[in-house]
Amino acid sequence: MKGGYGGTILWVDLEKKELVRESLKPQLAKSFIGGRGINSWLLYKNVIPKESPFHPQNPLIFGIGPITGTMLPAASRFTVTARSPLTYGQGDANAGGYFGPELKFAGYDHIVFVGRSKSPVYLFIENDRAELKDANHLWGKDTWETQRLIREELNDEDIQIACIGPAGEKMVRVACIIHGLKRAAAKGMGPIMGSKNLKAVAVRGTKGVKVANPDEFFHICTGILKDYQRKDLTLYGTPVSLLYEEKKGISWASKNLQTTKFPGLRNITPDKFNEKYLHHLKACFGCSISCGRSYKVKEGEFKGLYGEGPELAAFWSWGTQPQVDNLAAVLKSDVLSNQMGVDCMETGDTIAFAMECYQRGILSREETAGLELTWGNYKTVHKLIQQIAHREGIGEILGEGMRIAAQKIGKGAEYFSRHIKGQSFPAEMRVKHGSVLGYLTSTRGADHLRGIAVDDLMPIKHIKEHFGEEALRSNGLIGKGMATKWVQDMTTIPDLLGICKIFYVLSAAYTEFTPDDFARIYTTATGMELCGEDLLKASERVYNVEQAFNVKIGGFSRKDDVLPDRLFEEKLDGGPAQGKRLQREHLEKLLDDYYDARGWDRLTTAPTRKTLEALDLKSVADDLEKQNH
Amino acid sequence: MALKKVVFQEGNFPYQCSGCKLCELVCSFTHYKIFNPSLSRIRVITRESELIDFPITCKQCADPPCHNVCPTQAISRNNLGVNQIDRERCIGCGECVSACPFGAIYIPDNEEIPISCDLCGGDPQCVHYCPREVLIYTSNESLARNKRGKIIPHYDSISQEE
Repeated sequence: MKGGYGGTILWVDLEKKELVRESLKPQLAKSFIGGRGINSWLLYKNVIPKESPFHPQNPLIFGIGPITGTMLPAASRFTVTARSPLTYGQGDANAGGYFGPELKFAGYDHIVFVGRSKSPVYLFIENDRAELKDANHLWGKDTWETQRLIREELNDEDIQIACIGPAGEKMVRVACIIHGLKRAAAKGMGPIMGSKNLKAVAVRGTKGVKVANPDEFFHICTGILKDYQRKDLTLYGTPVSLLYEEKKGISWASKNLQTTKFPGLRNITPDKFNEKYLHHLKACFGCSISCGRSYKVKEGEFKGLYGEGPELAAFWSWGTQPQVDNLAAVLKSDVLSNQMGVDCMETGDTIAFAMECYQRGILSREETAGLELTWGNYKTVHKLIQQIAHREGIGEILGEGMRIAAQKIGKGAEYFSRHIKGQSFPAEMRVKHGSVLGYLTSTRGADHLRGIAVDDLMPIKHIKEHFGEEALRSNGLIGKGMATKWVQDMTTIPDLLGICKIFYVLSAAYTEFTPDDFARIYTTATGMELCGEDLLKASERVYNVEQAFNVKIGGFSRKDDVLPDRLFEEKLDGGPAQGKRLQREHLEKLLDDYYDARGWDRLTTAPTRKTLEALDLKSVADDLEKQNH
Repeated sequence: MALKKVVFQEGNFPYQCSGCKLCELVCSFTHYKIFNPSLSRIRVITRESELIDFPITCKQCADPPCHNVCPTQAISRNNLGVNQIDRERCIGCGECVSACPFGAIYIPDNEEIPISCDLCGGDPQCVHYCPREVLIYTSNESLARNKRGKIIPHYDSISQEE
């Protein structure tokens, strides 16, 4: 490996307080590339089977990719991986900001935490030096205060920190890890970090990153800088889609999916945000699109409030779902969730679910201790975020996430919970078969980033050419399996390289950058020869390791690839697909098509031996076989 | 001709410093063929909790404190007007670092000689690649001249309001 990689995996045993450095083996890099790929493999190999995700010896893994920290635009991402306490299967989450690049500059690719510290600690890395430091004084502090205090005590403003807030400490399942003001790694990673008594990871690196072929790499970077722009994302960030929804008079994520109508949407669109609260443009490290922004509220009830974001998902969670049309109140929820360290998606989804339960009398005022969970009531939303983070009142139950909360509430609440494998989904799915299949078969439960609909984003010509005419139709049944597999493998590539998926895949409609482009980036950076097909195969390898984990450890099979009954029984009340609901037999056909495309057993959803061996994963095939006997 | 330098000048949103630090990467690459902000001669100050992103580089002062305090007279101006540091004379004492009011000259970790902006020999690369176009290569004189040009529409709007 001539460049790109930091070259080191740091193993941290929190119980024994032992830190061991291990060189990154070229074979590991070759098979799984980096980032999410190597993370997933390390999780698969080191998980403690048949124990809770919170078992102290279960690993919590931080990882970055070979491109992270280079000048390739938007090479800022890091992945956190552990067994998810929400799905009990594969769990990983990805975030941008400055943390990933700083870890690279310190000379690392991955950090693996095992064990549980007796008292709160944080890890401080400064280049080759790494040590565990006492965090008793930080315990209980919110994520913003934690970062401020660490920088203060280490006397370096350039230290980059990923930490948990009160929610992660209390092992609230919907908690996340926060870096900066709002960069979040969710999917149950917060409570796992809390279960290890690990408050934060603080990094400072001054070594930089070299690439194998500097001049060609620089040429690629400057080419992208000059040629690739997305002005709408620069101006409005990811919430730009709300502008399109508002124009069409629909809201795809409203009132716990009871309706597509939310007139208040017009008050909380990103153009209104720019007009009233925008402070300045904010990028992740190395990003030329800069889809982030900071804000400041200068008057009114929330005077003095400031923060970064909110992203589309936060607008859904704090605006359209609970039908809050007060923009400053939406921002307040955003700040609260980031400071407390709860995932805006899972938390907001669960709150909207609770509001529907309240609407239907399933949750009574006694159970909420007098709190009125009425639609549009932002004061309740703010209170619930606090209660969830501190395990107080009804927050104790809601903090468990949509699935467990519904089980605990009972009285038919489960019908109104919307999740796949315990991970909630934020937006409407009755419209397009592509999104349904992508969400259903994502390896980390419901997920809009792992296999987003082909029929949503990809240019028509490209779908027709690759997957046939019928894959193009939003309710088509043939070709969707193959298309979904391809999309999932494509969205995996940026996770392996440590670059931004929004930049390189989603905003680029899957076609602006081809697998060969990514392969060229990889080869020029690392000196390791690879073509686009190899890279797609590496993605597929990672996807299959994650699926094997889900089958072997999570106990998943076809019965878990299901959607809530509601989407089959209730019709959409607006939009272009008004009156539509999903058909079970369609879904079964789509799934068959997908499993066949993947080479997975139609019943167990386990990758077959043939599939695994074609991906050089014979040992995984042996593992799965052993389990069956 | 007046001497030119790299100047930070924001426009309206989104022509603002976003804290992307691409300038730092371009700078370290141009000088050392490595991507390393800690070797960049332009540094972006990012203070997330204060909502600040602000690039700092050598201001090419008329009466440069870094020159004045150097005990070995190792720092001089080259034909572009930027610091030229005589590696033979420099003793790495860091007096120049202490003297600079901006932190624009510094000695990186594991290095002995201070670094500061050299304008890439007259074609500063950070200016080329700043995606938000907030870095300008200009002289004090033409900077003011451009500002005078831009203020006219502003005056129009003021007079209309009245």
